[in-house]
Amino acid sequence: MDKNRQKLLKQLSALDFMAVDLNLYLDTHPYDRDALLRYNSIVMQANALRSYYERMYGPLYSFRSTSDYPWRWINNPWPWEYEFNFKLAGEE
Amino acid sequence: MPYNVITTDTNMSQIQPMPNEYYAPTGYCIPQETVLTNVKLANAYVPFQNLCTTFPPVESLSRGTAFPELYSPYRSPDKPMKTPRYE
Amino acid sequence: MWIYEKKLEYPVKIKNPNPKMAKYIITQYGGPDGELAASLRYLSQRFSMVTPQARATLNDIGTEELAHLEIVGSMVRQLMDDVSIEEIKESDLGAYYADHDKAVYPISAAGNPFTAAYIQSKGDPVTDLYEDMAAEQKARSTYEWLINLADDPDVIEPLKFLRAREVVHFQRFGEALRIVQDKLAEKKFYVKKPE
Repeated sequence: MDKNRQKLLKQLSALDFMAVDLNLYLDTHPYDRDALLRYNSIVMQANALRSYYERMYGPLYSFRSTSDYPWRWINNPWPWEYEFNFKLAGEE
Repeated sequence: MPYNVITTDTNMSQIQPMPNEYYAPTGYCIPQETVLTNVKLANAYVPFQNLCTTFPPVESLSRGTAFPELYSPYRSPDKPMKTPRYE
Repeated sequence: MWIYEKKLEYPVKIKNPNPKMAKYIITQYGGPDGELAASLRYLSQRFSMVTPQARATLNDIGTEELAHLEIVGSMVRQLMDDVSIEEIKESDLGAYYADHDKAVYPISAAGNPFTAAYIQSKGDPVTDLYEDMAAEQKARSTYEWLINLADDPDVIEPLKFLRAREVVHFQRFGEALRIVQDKLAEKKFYVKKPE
């Protein structure tokens, strides 16, 4: 499997997860300036990485990402498949 | 180079994640509310969290939270838990 | 509306199929304290929730639970991958196989199909938030029992992740409850205008 894709996906998943957790924190702490700065910074890093990933490996979003010809959205693997995912802990 | 409408001109060198020091604590910080005022009977109160520090991204994902003060792993009585390794 | 992102919130990469474990873990797909129930509960309750903070919390945690539903479904599917009929018979998955082959269907570990009776949407913001906090605790306990039943790190790691999220969600619902309780206490001091 494509090692570079998995490495990118791991970085992107990690940044997106930080964004999820900070988003929930901000929902109950809307006036926390420091948390908001961190959130914005994480989202900007994630967006840059996402554009790069999509250019290399195809669309990530349904009806929000553009695609090369032919329509790449339908390409395997899908996220529930073994081949799609990266190994987070343990052997690298 | 395949055509693509994504306009952000990025390459890998520009999108390195923040160094781990970025997530280190800055100064003295108590990660939660310590005094509850105006409490009433028959109400439940969870203290508010205060943001101090966060784990770096990959470590946050591995632990299931970005916040050290909310990380409280389960110790199974039946098996010794190994601490996961991070990059 | 929702936009699908073609990746999991947490990776599922299970090398060794284990139909017995699939039969247990499916309870977090369609069981009483599972992710489908959680998601439907929060996404339904948000319509009648008060305060911007509590509404956003229900909306966003309800959304994250959909991502957890996908993680659990992926685990069940990978655990049943390439399992022979003999292994299915040995692992008590035969009854499930008779109805669903190796498809993913929302039922509990004991085989009860998913029902909306698992959730409540009461219209009282305080009542709903207490239910949500209890739901997070029930799901946390379920993940702990599942961790006790598992011995493959490929299975345990995603279970630990999902368990950790329940703890964070409990904290957020607790904070939302504080905001809602304060808001409602304020109202009680309003003087009612004489008719």
